Amino acid sequence: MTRRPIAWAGLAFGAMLTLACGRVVAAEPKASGPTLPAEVVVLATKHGASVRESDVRVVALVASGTNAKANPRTLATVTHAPSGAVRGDVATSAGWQVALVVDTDSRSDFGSALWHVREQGAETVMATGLYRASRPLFVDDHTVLVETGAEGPAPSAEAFRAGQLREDRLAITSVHLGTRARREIYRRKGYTLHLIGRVHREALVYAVDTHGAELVAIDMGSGKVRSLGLLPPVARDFSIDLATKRVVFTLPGDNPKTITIATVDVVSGSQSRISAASDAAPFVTPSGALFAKGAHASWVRATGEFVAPVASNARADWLAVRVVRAGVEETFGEQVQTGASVRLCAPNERCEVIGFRGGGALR
Amino acid sequence: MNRARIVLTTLAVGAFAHQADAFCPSYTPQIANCVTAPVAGKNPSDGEWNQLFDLVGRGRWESGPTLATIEDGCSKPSAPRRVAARFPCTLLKAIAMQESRWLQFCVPDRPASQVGAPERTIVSFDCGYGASQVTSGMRKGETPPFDQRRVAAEALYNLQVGATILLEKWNAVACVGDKNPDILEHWYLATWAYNGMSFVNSPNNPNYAAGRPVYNPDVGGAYPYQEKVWGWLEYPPSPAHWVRVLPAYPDRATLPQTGAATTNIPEPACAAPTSCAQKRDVHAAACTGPGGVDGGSEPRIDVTSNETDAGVPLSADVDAAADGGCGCRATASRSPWAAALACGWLGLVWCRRIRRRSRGV
Repeated sequence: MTRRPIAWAGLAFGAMLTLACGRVVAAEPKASGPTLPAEVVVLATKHGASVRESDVRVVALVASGTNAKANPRTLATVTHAPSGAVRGDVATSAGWQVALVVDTDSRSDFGSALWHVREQGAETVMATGLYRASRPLFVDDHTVLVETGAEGPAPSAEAFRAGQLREDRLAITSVHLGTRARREIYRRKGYTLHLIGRVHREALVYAVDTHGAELVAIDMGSGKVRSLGLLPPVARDFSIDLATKRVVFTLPGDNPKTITIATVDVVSGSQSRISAASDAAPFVTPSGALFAKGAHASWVRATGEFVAPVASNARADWLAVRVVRAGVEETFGEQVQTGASVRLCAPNERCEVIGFRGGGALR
Repeated sequence: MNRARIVLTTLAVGAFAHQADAFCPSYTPQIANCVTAPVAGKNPSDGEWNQLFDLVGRGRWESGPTLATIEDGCSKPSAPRRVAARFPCTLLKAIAMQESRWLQFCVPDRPASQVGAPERTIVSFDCGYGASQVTSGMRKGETPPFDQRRVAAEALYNLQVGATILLEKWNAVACVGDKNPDILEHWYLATWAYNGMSFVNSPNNPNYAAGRPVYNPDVGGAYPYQEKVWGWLEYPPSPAHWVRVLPAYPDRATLPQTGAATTNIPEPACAAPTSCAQKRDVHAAACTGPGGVDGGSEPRIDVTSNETDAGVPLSADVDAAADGGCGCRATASRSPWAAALACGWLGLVWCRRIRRRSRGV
């Protein structure tokens, strides 16, 4: 009877301590093998609304004590629409391979193209007609999933007045990087089929339409679809915690100053709301999900518990951290273990983080 | 002397911005499915553009396309009614800046067969014509209620048709706030619809960065269309184009996208596209000729005169900006200098308070 209030008080004290300390960092599991040097692929674009070129760079991250250094090298330069979106994914099993969805025509909702960039600097346009600002997803070294489709008819006047948006004919399409062969593996009418990531043979997709949003798992071989349940159509910041097989995302909080961090179990579909935080976005590292808690940048696990400071022999994971200063976004690589951080792009560049190698996470 | 230098510097910066943004498609009916050929012509000067926007914003034009009435009121508290159409002139300027950088004519840089031709109408591959990039009714086989050739040939007519399309969207979309056409932020959904009422432009689209700051054209980046226009409002190319406005954003959780029964949006009050942690007020914005003021405004002070908005009271408010800085804006109906002074004083007091607080004093 008396233990529960004590436990709650302890939890509350712990939470207060965490917030007060400003930085309490996660206890990472011990690394099982040698630590790889972290490398991150970024897309760097000079500031300006009319800039039409971006560099694809590999940035090697080196930490020494609490200092960090970034050594960039350019893989390729891609051309896009002015202020166009470029999203990407990285496959690292056989050297660097980068898939990019590049906005080539900012006046069309399906005006993006799939680029394939390799370590040698070769780049090729593999497919066109992709959903603007969408993200590709490597299935293996030869295959990439993309969001494709075509604009649907404009909604009726009544539907328009009722707040409905145009529904498009959408598909998740696999593109073979060798042959350029395209195959639709999932088709649906709606607003978007947002590719979140994959768990084993299933691609996870956040599908939004006039009725709401749903999380679906699509078997990339057979095309079989499993519903993992309905979600509010305002979810975002998706990532996957492979360790616990959960999709992690954020929802608006109970008040304007908070957001809610939620999860869906990929196996059972069970949903949980695990944390409400101010101005935070979740990070997922290879060793488990961690969450930033607002300006204090402390961390909690996917299970909801606050965690102890990092042990000295913990794996050297890096995070890509986006900060808004004086209205301008800046992107840093930050080593979880030491807090050492370094700018990933030049101060006069926009920086889109595409992926890590060697123990990193991005959001 | 100093003022003249400021104005000259401003004009030089403006001219550079136009050159830097040079992007001039000029597709012909032989290449694309467009209805009329580009027309040779010269762009108005920035001062002339401002006069054209002012004229179009008032909505009382003597010649041009037919202008419908505008819905005014959404029972919050004003009862809905139809009145003579008018537009926030600053919004028209920002939309045209996003669409064409205020270019009706330019020297073609695409398609390849047209490169180097004399200055003529900007025509995009999807038949977007001129400064407003009018596409509706500009494809072969379409018979719109306006003169397609004049859309290509005349800057004023092009702006007028662009405004009628925006008006059509305004009358079609759900309410924002009390749907007052004099309130800049109430045009949020209409601006979204001007580019297409699709999820690609939804602030809830997970493809866009969740914590994105206000769009800054000097930085660029992928944003929903209406957020780009809102960003232009906040970051004009120069004070001679228009006076900076810090527009409020609607709460993203209230936006339409699911066909829910209640689709009207409450009064916008957020200081950022995806966060309402900081607040902003809405603006009664209109134009008063070139730039709205005489070119001497301070960066974070917005003094907007409302000569066309009879009855809008003078108000000055202090806004702690989203970045924690010391922002200030005022809305003035008659005396911009008085408002600027008041705003500056209030801003100083507010900044001192914030700094003292941040130092723990």
